[in-house]
Amino acid sequence: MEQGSAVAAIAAMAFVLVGVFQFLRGYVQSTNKDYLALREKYEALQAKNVALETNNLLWKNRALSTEKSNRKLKNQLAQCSETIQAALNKTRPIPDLSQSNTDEFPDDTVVPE
Amino acid sequence: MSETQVIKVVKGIILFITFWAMGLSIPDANSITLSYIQQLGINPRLFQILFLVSGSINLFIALRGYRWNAIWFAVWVMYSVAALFAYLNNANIPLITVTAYLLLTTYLTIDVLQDADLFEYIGKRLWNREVL
Repeated sequence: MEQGSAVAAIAAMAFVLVGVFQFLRGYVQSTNKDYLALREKYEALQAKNVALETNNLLWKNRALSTEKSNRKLKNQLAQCSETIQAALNKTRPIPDLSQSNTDEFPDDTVVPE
Repeated sequence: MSETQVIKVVKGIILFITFWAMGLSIPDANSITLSYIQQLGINPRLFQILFLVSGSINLFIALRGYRWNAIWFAVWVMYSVAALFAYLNNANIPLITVTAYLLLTTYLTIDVLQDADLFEYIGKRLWNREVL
C-alpha cells in the first residue's frame, strides 16, 4: 500500500514539475521580444496556410464536380449517338431500281399511241 | 473558429464534466483508493476541492484557447495511479473503471509532453553540450 501511495505521489509530482516548467517557459517567452515577433509571424503564416488550404480544397472540389459533369455529358453524348444510329437503322432502305414499278419508272420501249 | 479550437473546447468540456463528476463522487467515507491518498496526509475534502478547481481551470483554459498545463492534470493522475494500485492489491474496483482512468491519464500525458516540448528541450540541451 505504501508503494502505491508513493508511486501516485511521484506521478502527481512529475506532472506538477512539468506544469511549473510550462509556466516558466511561458513567462520567459512572454518577456522575449524576438520570440514574440517570431510567434506573430508564425501565427500569420499559419493563418495564411489555413486560407490557402481552404482555397486548395475548394479548387479540388470544383475540379471534381467538373469531372463529374464531364462524365455525365459524355454519357449523354453516347446515348444520343446510339439513338441516332438506331433511328438511322430503322429508316426505309433505298428502293431497288431494277425491280421498280412501271408506273413510277415507265418502260421506254412501250410508246403510247 | 478553427477545427483545433473546437477540439480543444470539446476536450475542455469533457475534462470539466469528468473532473467534477469525480470530485463530487469522492465520498467522505473511506474508500480504498482514497486511503492511498490519505496515507500521504492529504484530506479527502482537499482532494475533492483540487478536483473541482482543476476541472474548472481546464475548462477555462480550453475556452480561452490557452495552452494546457500539467499542474491541472496532476490530481487526476494521482487518483488514477492510486486506483491502479488499489486494483492490483485486489480491491473491489471494476477493471473497466481502472482501464478508463488509465486511458485518460495516458491521453493527458501525451498532451502534456507534446505541449511542454520536454523531449525537444532536453534533446537540444544534450546536443549543445555534446557539440560544445
